[in-house]
Amino acid sequence: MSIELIRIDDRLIHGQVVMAWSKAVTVKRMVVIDDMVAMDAIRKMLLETVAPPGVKVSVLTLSQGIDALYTNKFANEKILLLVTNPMTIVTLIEGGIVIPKVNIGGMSFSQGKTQVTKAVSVDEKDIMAFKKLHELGVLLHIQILPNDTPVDIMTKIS
Amino acid sequence: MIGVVIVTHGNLADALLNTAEQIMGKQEQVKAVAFESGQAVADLQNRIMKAVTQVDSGQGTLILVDILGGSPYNASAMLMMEQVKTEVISGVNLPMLFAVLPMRNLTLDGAANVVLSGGRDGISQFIMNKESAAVTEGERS
Repeated sequence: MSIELIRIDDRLIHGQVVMAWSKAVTVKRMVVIDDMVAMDAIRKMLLETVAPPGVKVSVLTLSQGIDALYTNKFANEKILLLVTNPMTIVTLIEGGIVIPKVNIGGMSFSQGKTQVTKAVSVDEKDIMAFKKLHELGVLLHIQILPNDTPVDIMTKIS
Repeated sequence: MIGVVIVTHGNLADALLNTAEQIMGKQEQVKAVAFESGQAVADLQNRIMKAVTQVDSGQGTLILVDILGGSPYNASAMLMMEQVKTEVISGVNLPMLFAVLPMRNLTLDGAANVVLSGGRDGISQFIMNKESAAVTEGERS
């Protein structure tokens, strides 16, 4: 198993991922790790139907996700890992998963969040998680589309 | 009459509706919804729901979206799965609109079929008849 891209995107599998990223990084499977989504039958079913042709989808809870990645469940497969928020990445690393680099693709704005870029808004919890990841040496690049120039989120949050 | 809601990334939905009306005249019970980058999906879903409520007169609503798996598609599919009386079809194009806009007294399923066949039939390649083109060329010189 090789993880080709780890992306934080609260829209998970959507246009940018299906049209652009799936062509920039060739993967056989998209793995979504999120407790709320994995327990929401409707969202789960939808995600399983919208992947590009030939790409499988797994929607897992956090503990299922750690298990699957740790035991190399998707051996011989190139995968794209999708999560909705940076705290999930912290939990994955604490669960023993090696993550050197994270792509920050979309964190939508809502009440109480601060807008960092047009597509990325964060709250206090997100900032704490990003700081922790930064301390752990994880590269945190805001990059909406493959052709965009990556921007280190640590230069945008203090 | 069946309602129609067009949902796309950016202002394509508005443009499609404007262009369709330019050719077919003003349309009743049709709305366009734009999804801009940075917008939350929950917000998009609310706006689609609002548009559906505005165009639906009880017979149901066709939601025509740009691409399979895009946020407009995902948000619309979520609404449909929450038992809102709709059909969701991706790949929206003008031929689809021309086919279905005058045919909205069908059942929702029937109208969905008109959308699918109209959209597909609108995609074609011009095949040049090389022989007659060659003759024309010869006659010209």
